[in-house]
Amino acid sequence: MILSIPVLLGVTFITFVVAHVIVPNPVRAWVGLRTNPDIIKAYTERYHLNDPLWTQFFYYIYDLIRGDWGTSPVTGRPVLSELQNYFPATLELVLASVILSFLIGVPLGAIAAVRSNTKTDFSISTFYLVGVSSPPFLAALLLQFAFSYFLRVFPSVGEISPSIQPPQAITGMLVVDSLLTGNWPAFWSSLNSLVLPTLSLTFLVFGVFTRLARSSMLDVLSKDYIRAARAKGFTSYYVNIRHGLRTALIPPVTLLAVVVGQLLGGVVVIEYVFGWPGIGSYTVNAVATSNFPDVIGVTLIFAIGVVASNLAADILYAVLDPRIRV
Amino acid sequence: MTEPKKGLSKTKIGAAILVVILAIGVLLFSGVLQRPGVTTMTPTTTIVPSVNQTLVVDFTSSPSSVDPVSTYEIAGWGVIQNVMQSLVYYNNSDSSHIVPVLAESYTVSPDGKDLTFILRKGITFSTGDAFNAYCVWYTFYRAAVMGGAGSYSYTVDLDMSGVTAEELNQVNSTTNMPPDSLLPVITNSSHAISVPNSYEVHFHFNNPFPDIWGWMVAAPIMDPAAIGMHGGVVANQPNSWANLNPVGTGPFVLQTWVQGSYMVLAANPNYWGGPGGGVSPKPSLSKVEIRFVPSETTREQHILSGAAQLAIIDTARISSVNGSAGVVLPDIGISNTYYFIPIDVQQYPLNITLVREAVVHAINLDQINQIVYHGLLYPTAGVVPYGMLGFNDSMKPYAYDPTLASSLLEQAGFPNGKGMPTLSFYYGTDYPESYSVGQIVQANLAAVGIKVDLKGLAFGEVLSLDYSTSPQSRDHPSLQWVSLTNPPVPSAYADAVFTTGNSVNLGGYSDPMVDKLCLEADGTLNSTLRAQLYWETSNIVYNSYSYIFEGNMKDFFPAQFFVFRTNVHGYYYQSAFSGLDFSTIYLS
Repeated sequence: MILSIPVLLGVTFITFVVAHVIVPNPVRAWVGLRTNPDIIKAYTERYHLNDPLWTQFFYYIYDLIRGDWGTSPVTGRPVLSELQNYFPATLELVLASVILSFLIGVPLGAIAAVRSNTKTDFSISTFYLVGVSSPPFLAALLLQFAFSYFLRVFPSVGEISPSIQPPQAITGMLVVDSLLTGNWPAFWSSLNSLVLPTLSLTFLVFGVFTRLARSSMLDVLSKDYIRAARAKGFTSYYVNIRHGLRTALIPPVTLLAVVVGQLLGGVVVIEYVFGWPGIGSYTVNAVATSNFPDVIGVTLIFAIGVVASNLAADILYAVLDPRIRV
Repeated sequence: MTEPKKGLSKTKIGAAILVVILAIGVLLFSGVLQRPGVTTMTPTTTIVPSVNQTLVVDFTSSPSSVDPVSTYEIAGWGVIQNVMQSLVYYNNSDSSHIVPVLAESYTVSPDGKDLTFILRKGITFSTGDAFNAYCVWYTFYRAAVMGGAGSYSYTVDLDMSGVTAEELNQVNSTTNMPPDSLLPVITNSSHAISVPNSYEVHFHFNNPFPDIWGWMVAAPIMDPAAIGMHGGVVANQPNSWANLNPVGTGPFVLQTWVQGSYMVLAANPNYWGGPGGGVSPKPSLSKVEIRFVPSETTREQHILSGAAQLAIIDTARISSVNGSAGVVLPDIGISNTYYFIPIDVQQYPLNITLVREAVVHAINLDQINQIVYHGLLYPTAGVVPYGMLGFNDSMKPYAYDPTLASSLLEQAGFPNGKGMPTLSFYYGTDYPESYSVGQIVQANLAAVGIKVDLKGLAFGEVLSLDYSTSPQSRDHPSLQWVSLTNPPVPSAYADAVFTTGNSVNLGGYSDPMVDKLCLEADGTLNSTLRAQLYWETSNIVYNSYSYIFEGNMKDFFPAQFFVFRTNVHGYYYQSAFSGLDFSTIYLS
């Protein structure tokens, strides 16, 4: 927990320096080419752009500690408000994909372990290797082509159909919000829109769980207590599931949190292909306009996500495995 | 033997903790979350479409703002121009004729310094608030006080001093009538803009400015009451509400906007009907669904499959889409979008005229046109783009002559490029075709011994780099890709690109004679003399070898290549915005 403070500070500092070094004074990109000198002066002073870099960083950190993430110079809206707008869509996609990956990956890994070195094992291994080694856009485009353009079952872009009124915001995640508010047309539309991006991301990620579950299960199945259980006459199913899988679940469960953190920053391509209004698309736009308060804000939220998910993984590990202490 | 029923309580606890941690994270983050990106405008009355037609449009990116004072992005103006209206507009695609829109009529004084507009009565904003001359006064001074990216259209050549944010914020009733205490300021005829009565506005320029119409059409009038209720005017700061909530007198209203995802424009039920003659008519479309689809592949699939009726297609894909069944690429003639490569004339050794002359002759512009633009560039050169006053078709881009280039390099003291430092060519990563241009420039210059590093940044970042580095420094782009779409008036190009220190003068070009001639041309009412002055300027710039002129985009909508389904009709090329006027579009 304490270690996370220097990590976050370091990430903020590096992002701050890089954002400022590429384009030292981005005011023109913010306020347009034809603005007058008074406006440039006002913006330069507001963002302390004439001060040394370390002074600018001090102002930024000072404001950050007070809960002020800065104001977007392009939209005039607080950075935190912008992140609140875009982050839930990414989080929704990532959570859906990670949960689905876990639900698919772990059983497949367990089956591969139980039937190790058989055709089933080789088939599952091949399947997850294809997924893990595929570039992110490939699955997305294939699924889009098959289910949107050919079968026309799922929408190809967006988070909800434009012809349906979005639900009232509670969490910012449309599927959850429409469920909470009982807005069924919005629920079905947003769920429908979530399917293809989720499947695309799942195809890339489930293999990590499969591989880990397989190796973990193989390890557990070779333990003495499993042999003892078999000797006592328990059925194979009972031994594999109740004794084997339950113990073998510890590494994949702890990996859940880590994967959530890593995927938060890694869904840009999927968001791009499916026109998903998440933080990835937003970051690309922020970079294009040299909007560094937003870029730093996004980086910080990713860093917080990774640190928090790693922390969650540590805690989970300790809870699941009594031999570990946090 | 019975199998034990005891569950794995710790695993369950662990799973529960994970769920709780994630849930807490979500709730913490969304505690104050109202999904500000979802803007839902509630019209004052129920929307009754004139005809029940919905146009589905694929654009590339969501606007960051739809306040005309805060944005200069094409994405934002694509919405603004359909929701808001200006005092005057072009006769659709014919930019040689001005049509009064919110103005009923206008007069220009003989010396060209005074414009008087008489406004139409009975027009209301989509909120129901009244439109009058005070709204015009408010809108123009608001732009001056806020000083945003789009302020220039409202303030060009006007002395906008003498009005404060506090005074503007006093116009805040739904009648949009000012308090009596403010009338001395509003009626003050010594100010650049004054309002003698509720339906008359007077503009005073210090010098005649015949190109003012190019900017007036891009100066939509806003609703003071609506802005007053949502933060009002703050000097030098954008209004975050107005950035998301466009309110105007135009044919459409913003119904829903999920930022980054889509936007729905609905026909404005209170629309006054437009000035007639096919300009801004009552729309046939009841709705326009604008989806923001960053993926080129997806947009292309949508237009080909009919999932979208209109889509923006990248330059590189135009030729593959062209000729597909059910798809139309309209031929709009030659546009005013101008392509050129500014040379950093202050950076060594590009500050040597012979070196620049060598560079311009070493580049094969025809190759760029054919390979990158599929022959869609109409070759032009000079300070004024095709079709505008002062344009002369006899001036063409520099001829490709590598032998001459090598000889000039030798004369400059760099035989076969020996001793030449490496130049930089900046391309916009958000404009994929600019990288292809850079590759050809790099190869062409390498053939005469000049090394070029290709450097990619987002176009906005390249501009920021231009302004934040000295042209003498090696950090400043030596060469860069530029595409410019400005209002169709000559000064919008000649002044901006070629006069000292001006906004799009990116290569540090400076010639007092050019500055003088442009200034003189800007303020000259005699069209023949103006054309002559711009032509003289073009010759000076051309002979300085400071810009590699490429040409004007032709045939297709420039800046954004709009591709239509065959059932979409009524669109035209908007030279003022390079956008689309949805009010004239209908479906069959």
